Amino acid sequence: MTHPAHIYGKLAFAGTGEAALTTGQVRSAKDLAVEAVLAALADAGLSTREVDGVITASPAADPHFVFASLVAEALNIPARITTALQGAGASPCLGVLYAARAIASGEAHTVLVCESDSRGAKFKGDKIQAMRAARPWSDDFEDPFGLTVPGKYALLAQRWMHQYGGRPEDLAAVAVASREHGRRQPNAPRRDPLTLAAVLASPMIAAPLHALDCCPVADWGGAVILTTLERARDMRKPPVRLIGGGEGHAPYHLHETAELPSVATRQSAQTAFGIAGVKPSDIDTAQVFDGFTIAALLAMEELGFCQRGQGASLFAQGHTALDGSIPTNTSGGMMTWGNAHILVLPEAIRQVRGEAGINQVPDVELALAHGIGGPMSLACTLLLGK
Amino acid sequence: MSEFRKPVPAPTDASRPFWAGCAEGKLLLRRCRQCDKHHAPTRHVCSCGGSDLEWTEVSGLGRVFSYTVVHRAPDPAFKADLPYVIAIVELDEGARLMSNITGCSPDAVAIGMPVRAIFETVAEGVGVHKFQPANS
Ligand SMILES: [Zn+2]
Repeated sequence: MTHPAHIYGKLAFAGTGEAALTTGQVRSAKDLAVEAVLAALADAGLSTREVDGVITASPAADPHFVFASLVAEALNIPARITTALQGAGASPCLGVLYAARAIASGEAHTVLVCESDSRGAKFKGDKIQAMRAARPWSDDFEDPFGLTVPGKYALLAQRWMHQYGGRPEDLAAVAVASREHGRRQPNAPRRDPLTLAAVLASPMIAAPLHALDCCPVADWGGAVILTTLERARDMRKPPVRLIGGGEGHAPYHLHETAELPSVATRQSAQTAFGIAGVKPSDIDTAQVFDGFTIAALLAMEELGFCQRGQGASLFAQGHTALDGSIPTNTSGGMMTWGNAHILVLPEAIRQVRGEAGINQVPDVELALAHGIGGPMSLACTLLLGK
Repeated sequence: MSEFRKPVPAPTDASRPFWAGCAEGKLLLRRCRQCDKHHAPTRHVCSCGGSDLEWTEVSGLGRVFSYTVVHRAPDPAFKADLPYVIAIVELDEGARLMSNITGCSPDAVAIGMPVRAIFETVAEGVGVHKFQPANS
């Protein structure tokens, strides 16, 4: 099989947008998608009639049958391709890969990729119980034991600590690093600094993970527009090229995938780096899945930014800071803004454009965006460049 | 039994032998007739490509591969058990299963700890596997 490398370099992000982070509003997942998409179209200087593909994630708190059609209808998009992906945290980056394939095949020329969910509004009270109550499936090999989503990441964290001699404070360093990036922004939900002691003093959720090892729950919507480099050159903003992408796979059940190193992220990164002909040390900024501290740490190890078992020191020693060797989750990530997996894309695009404001990394030529779902089943890595 | 409101396995034709085995105090895995490898009940085809897997009773002995002490339950039915231990157990025959560790303090659980299967009947013909320290 030949590498699909020919599709890369000829595709570009033309726009990105997000729904405003607010509280007290009642917005459905569709409403949030519409808000984000309209912002992305305005960013690109496009009308909805110039879009011919819609790829969405599948909302968890506000699920809807044929969700991509619902969004395309609301926006009056004359779509030639639509689908709603079921890849959890991998869906947004994976949506870009599918958009790239559709554009390369000629089936579409300008594709919206969006993710939205009203978890903030819908998940009242105990978030863990609300999330379980909203889940439309059951799993006989997990549910009878009282397994939770944080519990799954805790099983990974415990295994990581065992294999590499890690401690709970190593995990906490990820949350502290994210807060440093998040708190600099005027609209951040939390502007006070976070300390290791505060993370370790927060309520235990599933040992070794504390409440502050887990991202908050929020309403969000995010959208990006992928098109041909040729078309993007005529749009409002300078194109941000998609120069590589790859997916990686492992089994679904954690009893099969808890073994470290987990393979999905590594596989996705190797494909993406191979296509782009670059290596981890060439990357100027990384935006990775950080729904839980352990997830970001494992991502950095498997993306190749450090040796396995060394992920914690990247965060603890300032290497992921804005002036570090690999500035990571520069917006503050999900740890700051809530469980919006798509955050990695708008931030990677802003960093390449030089539009990241107070958190801009100087001279970004290459940015990496990563998503994973399952928690370790399906990973996607994208490389973006000038 | 009547107050058992936790999620109970809903056996399908494919999974029923596993849950029925638990109800009879037996731990069954899927063994590949082609290469003898044992698999968790969630696998239907072997890594050798063989799809002729037969339910085989195993020792129920294994070791804790990873674990977490849960302090926030997914469902009110688990609240009385908090904090409880969820573990991935690697069985001596090679496959791993998600389960709980009972019969000891959560503080006593460690990765590598030898455990043995015990069973709880939760519905007519449906059991659930749990594990205890092997020396208890
Ligand atoms: Zn076999």
